[in-house]
Amino acid sequence: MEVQWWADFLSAVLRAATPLVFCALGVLVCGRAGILNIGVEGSMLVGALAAVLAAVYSGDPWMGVVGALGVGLAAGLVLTLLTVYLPTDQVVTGIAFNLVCLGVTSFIYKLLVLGGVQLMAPALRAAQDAEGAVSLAGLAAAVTPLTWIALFLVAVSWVFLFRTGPGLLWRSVGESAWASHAAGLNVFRVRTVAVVVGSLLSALGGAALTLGWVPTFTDNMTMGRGFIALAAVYFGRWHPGLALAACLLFGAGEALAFRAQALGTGLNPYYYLMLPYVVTLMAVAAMGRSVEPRDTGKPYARR
Amino acid sequence: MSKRSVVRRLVAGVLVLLLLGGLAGCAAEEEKPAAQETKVKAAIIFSIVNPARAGGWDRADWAGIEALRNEYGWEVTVAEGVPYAQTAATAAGYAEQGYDLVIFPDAGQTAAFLEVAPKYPKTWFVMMSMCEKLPNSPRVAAWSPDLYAYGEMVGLVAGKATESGIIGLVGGVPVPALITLFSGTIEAAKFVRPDVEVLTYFVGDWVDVAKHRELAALQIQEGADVIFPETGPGTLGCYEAAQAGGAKIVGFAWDMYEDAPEVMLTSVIINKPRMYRDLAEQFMSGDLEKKIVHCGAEYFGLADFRGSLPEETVKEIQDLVTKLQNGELPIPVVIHEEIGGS
Amino acid sequence: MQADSAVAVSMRGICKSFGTVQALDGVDMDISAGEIRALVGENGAGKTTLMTILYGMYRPDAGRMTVWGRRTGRDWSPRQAIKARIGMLHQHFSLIPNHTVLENVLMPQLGWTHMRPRWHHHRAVLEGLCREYGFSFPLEARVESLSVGQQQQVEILKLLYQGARLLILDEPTAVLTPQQTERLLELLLRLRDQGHSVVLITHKLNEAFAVADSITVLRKGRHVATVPRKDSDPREIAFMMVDREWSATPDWELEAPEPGPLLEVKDLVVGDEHQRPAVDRVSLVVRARELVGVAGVAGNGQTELAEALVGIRRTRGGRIVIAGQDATSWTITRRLRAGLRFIPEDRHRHGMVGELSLAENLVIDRCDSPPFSVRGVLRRPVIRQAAAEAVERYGIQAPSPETPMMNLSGGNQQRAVLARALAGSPRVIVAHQPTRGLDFAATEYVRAQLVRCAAQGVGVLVFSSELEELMLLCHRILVMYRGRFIGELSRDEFDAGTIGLLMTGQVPDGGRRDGQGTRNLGQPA
Repeated sequence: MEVQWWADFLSAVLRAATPLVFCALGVLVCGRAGILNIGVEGSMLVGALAAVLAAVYSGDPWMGVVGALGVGLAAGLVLTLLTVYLPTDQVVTGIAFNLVCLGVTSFIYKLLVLGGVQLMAPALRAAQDAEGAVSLAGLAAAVTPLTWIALFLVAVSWVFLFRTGPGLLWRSVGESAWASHAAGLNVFRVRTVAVVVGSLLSALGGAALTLGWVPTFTDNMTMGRGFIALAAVYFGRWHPGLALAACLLFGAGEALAFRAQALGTGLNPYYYLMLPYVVTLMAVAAMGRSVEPRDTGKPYARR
Repeated sequence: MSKRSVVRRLVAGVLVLLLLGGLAGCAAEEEKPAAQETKVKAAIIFSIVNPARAGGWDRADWAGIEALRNEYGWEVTVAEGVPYAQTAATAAGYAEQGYDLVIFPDAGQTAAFLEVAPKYPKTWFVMMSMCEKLPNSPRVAAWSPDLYAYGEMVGLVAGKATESGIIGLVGGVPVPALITLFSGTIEAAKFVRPDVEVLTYFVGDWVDVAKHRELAALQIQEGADVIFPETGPGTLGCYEAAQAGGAKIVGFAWDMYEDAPEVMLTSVIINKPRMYRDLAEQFMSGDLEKKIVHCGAEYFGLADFRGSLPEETVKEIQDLVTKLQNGELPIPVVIHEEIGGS
Repeated sequence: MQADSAVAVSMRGICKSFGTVQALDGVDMDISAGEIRALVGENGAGKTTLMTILYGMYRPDAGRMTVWGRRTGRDWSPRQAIKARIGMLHQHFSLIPNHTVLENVLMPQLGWTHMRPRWHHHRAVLEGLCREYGFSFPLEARVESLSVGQQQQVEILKLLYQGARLLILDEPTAVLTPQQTERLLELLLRLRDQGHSVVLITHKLNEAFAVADSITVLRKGRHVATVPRKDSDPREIAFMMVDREWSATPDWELEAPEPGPLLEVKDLVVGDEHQRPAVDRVSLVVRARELVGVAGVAGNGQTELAEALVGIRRTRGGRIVIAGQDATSWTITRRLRAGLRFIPEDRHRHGMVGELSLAENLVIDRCDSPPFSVRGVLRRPVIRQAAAEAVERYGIQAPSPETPMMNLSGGNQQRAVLARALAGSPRVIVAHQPTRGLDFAATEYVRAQLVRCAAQGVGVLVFSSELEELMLLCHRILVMYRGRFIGELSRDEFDAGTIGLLMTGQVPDGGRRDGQGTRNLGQPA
């Protein structure tokens, strides 16, 4: 029983953390090249809707993932135009982008519902349910493939950013666009790639929320998870491993909040529901001031 | 100045337009029926959009509107997506335009109801939801469902249907109305099955599907095989969890079978069309007066079970419901404040 | 020594404007292989802009360039410039402070396919280069942990490692001590002898004459002349730079200070951003009619000391006494009322509000009290009147008092800052780099005003990285090193060599020194 409780708990943590991990990586790789990806929430939302629609119409959840990537690419190109080439203020643009995404997804969702479309998509299922997740292999099988993809991408982004030549160039652009330009880098091209990759990852986060968790869509279904991922990146000091830890911590807080209600202490449920936020806040406070890459959020224009 | 900056301005302008268009997509919309002079003109104000396809509560209201239109030939104007803060102004607008009745389907509109009715004593203002106090105006009325009785009916169904003896109640936010409803469910479930265990969890919001799914899944893990969600759009998550975990759902307020055919045990219906018909009959005969109609168990009913339970169990449940409606079941009234915590 | 006649770079008719400002107007310039070329001119003459165009960071509006005999295209960029073996050391270094030396030096060479850079190979080669040129810093150190001089060496190492044959150095000595400057100039000569071409952007004619083979003068975006060094002299060049006879540096008649202290600082401790003591138990005295200079390499606590004195920065210990009253816990406003005035180091960030008008900037520190406002409402006519007087008195050139401050030239902005500092009745002026970034005329004006103030009984404390300036202006010079005063010289002891050594932390023999005694420095003898 004790073991089973932990197995359930851990799989719940991973389930809640997976979309956050994708989005956190989306913010992180983008920010490391100097663009503050406030639009993560919007990219996640359109990714979630695209994933559900593609999965519903094709009948295959993996096609849903492809659909999310396609929409993520489009969103990334729009954001690139705005934040890299014009360039506009990244925070304002990001917020406006989120609002547009919310409006567009709500509008499409309403059209579909009026059209009588059932938005129950085929889900990416775990190989087995949490009943058998009492061993590590069991746990591995008790979460969806997207979770493993997310963890794999954390490792990939760490190696890329901190162990390879292109990673050094990438980080240089985020630390000082001017110095990178002076060193002969095409700042615009690097940032374009970064924004598109960031948007693709955010859209994958949306796919993980729907296909990997609840295979349906509702208005504003991301509910600020993109912003929580953003906070996780700051908490994680712009490091993929620590950002992953932050996402897991938040997921653990959420899973714990629900389980604490089951104890029936008669405490107002709000105290438990605050838990993930309080835990995250305390962790951030304990970590101290986070230093973002120095040029993140600053538009760069060639004269 | 340069060609480049002109292009920049153009792009910026196009984007602003796109943004406005996007926002307009989720703004409030109104339906306008063709005007006919002699008809009774009623207006109804929804805080949500698309009531015909929203949660059970609003669908029940929609069925009531259909009854007004089709059976009584009323001309009904529907305002959707009106925020609570703007409800009073919207209602006043209808009163100014000479509508005979303005209907509020949502207890969240109580403040607007109390504020606007005294200003337009010639217009009828009707609350089709929980109501304790009427505004200070001659032409006001309310049909107020007894949520404790409604909860009892849910309890009868769930208590009889559960095999594991564990029932899960998923609430959005622990508001007093929800505590009352769940209390009725707990007492009625105990009445039909004394050893029943009722798990009452709150999600913390009405909309986050993922959280709803987690919470319902947790109840299923703890052994619940019948789940009654009373929350908002997040309900979808509960259906999903039930489907994945092999549990059954008791639908709220209207027949929710279509939304999740595989998991729907039945739904406990609030007979809102009956409430709307009461209103229409009394209005047209001139008998409508200032009053609160307390709608008890006779206003509630069960949707088709569609074979989700054995014939004899269904029969048993239906007998119990009839007895409840006749006031023959001695279920105690206990408000379990503790489920909302302190 | 002889200059190779081969032309490395040829620029013809280069034009560039920023908004409405014509920075370059049809400039021609040729640079030969194997020569050191000094590029001189006043602030805003277009020196940096011209070289930034050669390096591909700015696009010229018109003109053409030939690099090693090949025309550059529209797509000329730093990447192509680096490939063409041109390297530029920017005035504000193009280093990434958060990255290590190795990462910084290597970064320009890496391509998008170098998934596994050969760190060890590069490190070995770089260590060799460091030994060859006498650079001493660990390759694994983060650049921000290095001193400014070392950072400059990292930049040069970067240029050499990427194979630059033409090195452009933009005001490289501005941040260096005299000794470091000398070493840098020696290095340039050595590079020239190895066949490199060097362009040295500078406004210090003595440096230009020390190393350059020829000198190019720019004035207001135009090419004035290019002359071989041996055919010219500083006087002639200076004349070409300013378009007027160079008034020989006046030898100030300094008046004798009064005996009593006006500003007294005792054992002052000030922390920096990381709570480390940036100013460590410093004491000093400034008397009426006295000009006291604080010399030192930037970053040795001068900024912290100046800001603590005027109340912007919190002190951690010690006392500040203004005219006999303990002012340690006074607010900025109270210090202001007591006659303490500040000319900040960074005029754009701390000295002015660019969006506000000249008139508003002139009264911004006093606008909350009469006569400029009554019961919280500004009285525009009074402010305009005061502004007009200041414009007249300090020779501020502005279209009108309503012109936004940011639209004025640097010299006029500083005149406005000065006008505000000297308004009312100042008793002590703390001037931090008062002439930084100003051209001849403005510099001379600011210096004259400070001397005039002192003559009228004000105590002046000048922080400057320009030794000549302090030696010109001050009665005494205190040398600051690592948060302490390491030496003090009176006017008859002034010697650039001695002060330069002190600035690097070395106490010359025979000078006043010793670790414990430093605390007593700063008091008048």
